[in-house]
Amino acid sequence: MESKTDVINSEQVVISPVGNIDFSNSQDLKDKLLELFKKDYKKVILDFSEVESIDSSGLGKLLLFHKKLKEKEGKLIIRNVESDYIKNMFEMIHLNKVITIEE
Amino acid sequence: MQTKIEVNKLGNLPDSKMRLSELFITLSSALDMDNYEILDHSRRVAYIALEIAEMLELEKEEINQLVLAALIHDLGIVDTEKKEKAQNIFQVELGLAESHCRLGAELTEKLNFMPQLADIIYFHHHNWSGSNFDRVQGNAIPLASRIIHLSDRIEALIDSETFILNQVDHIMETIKSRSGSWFDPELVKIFSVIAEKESFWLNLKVKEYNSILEKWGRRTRVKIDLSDLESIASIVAHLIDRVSPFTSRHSTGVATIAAMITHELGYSYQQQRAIRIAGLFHDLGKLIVPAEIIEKEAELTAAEFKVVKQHTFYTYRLLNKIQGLGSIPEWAAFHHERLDGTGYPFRISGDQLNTGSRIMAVSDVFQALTEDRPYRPAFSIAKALGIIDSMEQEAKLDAEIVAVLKNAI
Repeated sequence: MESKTDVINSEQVVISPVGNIDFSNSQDLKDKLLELFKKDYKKVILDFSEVESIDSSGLGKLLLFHKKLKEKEGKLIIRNVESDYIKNMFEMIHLNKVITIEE
Repeated sequence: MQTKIEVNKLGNLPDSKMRLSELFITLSSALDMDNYEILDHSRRVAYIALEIAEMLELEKEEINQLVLAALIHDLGIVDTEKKEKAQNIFQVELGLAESHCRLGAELTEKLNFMPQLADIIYFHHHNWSGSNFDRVQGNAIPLASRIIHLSDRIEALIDSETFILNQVDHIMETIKSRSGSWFDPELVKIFSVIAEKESFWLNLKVKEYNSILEKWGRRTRVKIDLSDLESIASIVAHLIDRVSPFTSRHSTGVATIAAMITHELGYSYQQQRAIRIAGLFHDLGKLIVPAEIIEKEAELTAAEFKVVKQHTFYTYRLLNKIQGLGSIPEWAAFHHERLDGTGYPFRISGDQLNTGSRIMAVSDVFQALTEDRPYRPAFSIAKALGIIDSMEQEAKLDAEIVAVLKNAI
């Protein structure tokens, strides 16, 4: 999975994945997130403007990553969800109440 | 309980056709679960509405919409005290009427396979004339909402302690005195005819409405897909999670983790989704547990823990009433059962727990340990995994599933 990483400062980082977050690449995303986790960013922002879909594996990994960050008093934020499919899914399973989703 | 379990299999997907009545009756029971018991307010209102609709000779589809809406008309009431006020006191405060009608309609909109229901629920406290929280009056109020309004107020007037036939005169006087102001006068006339029949009242007394609704429900069998089912499960999860800030993210966490594990084990998209639905449903029975117990800051007493232990029994009982849910009742309700038979409340062991039920057990333990509880802060992920490891070593949780979870972290 293609993705771009923009370091804002020592506290914040933005990752922008492209396409589908699914079985074939959710491990890549997890590895990337873990790498940032080790660098102690307090705020990890996932820019979803170019994400088209996400499967159960991807959702689960986001939730687990949210838990890990929270443990270190950090925060996972998802921003710019363009896809209605993804928006609806987050609402349907109430994941928008767990992971902060910013417009 | 299932007769034969294939423990190495996930379990079965739901059927493609189900009775909407059964899905909605389960939703109505979730709404009517009060501290320690399930009351029947929603089903009783649905029965009264059905009687009126049949007298009016409405079309089959209109009747179905009306009765389904009646079953969930109080979806927007948040707490027990407000429920008590709305269901037992004849005159509902305008503020409470407005807030629960708006919220109920908003939640009902999630059921996008039944687009008409939200409007019916929105207007179910609207007066025929006089002050409403918006200016809609009279025939502009949907007929189904007018019927539910009348049925709901009739039900609120019935006192369960007094012999029902001795209450009829008083109820009818009260209803008639509001004809034209609160209620559609035509409906009051129709209802006066129904009210002459002792049998109508006795059906309420002896709970015969259950079998009457069952019979009506045979006409509501339709195609239901996983997306429809998930929207119902989503509402249930919302009801459970709104009880307390301590449970507010639990259902979604369990559902998300369980679906992820199902995915990693190589099951299909449909199977992942069905497991996620079961995850959203898994604590349905928690609605029977009073909020004071859920929010208690100290360790529970033995007596309180017994109250809590009932919750999965109710989850099973309510879901298992719905024909065609596949293994969803078992997946959802067996999450406190353990492979060594030391779980509760069915005390079944590994030979009766399919893969889906095992996934739910691991997901529930992990989610519960890593969230704040009133009596303790969340455990760290490492500590939670340590506890899960020891449970696995004691042969309580499935080793393969635990390994999949650890690998995902």
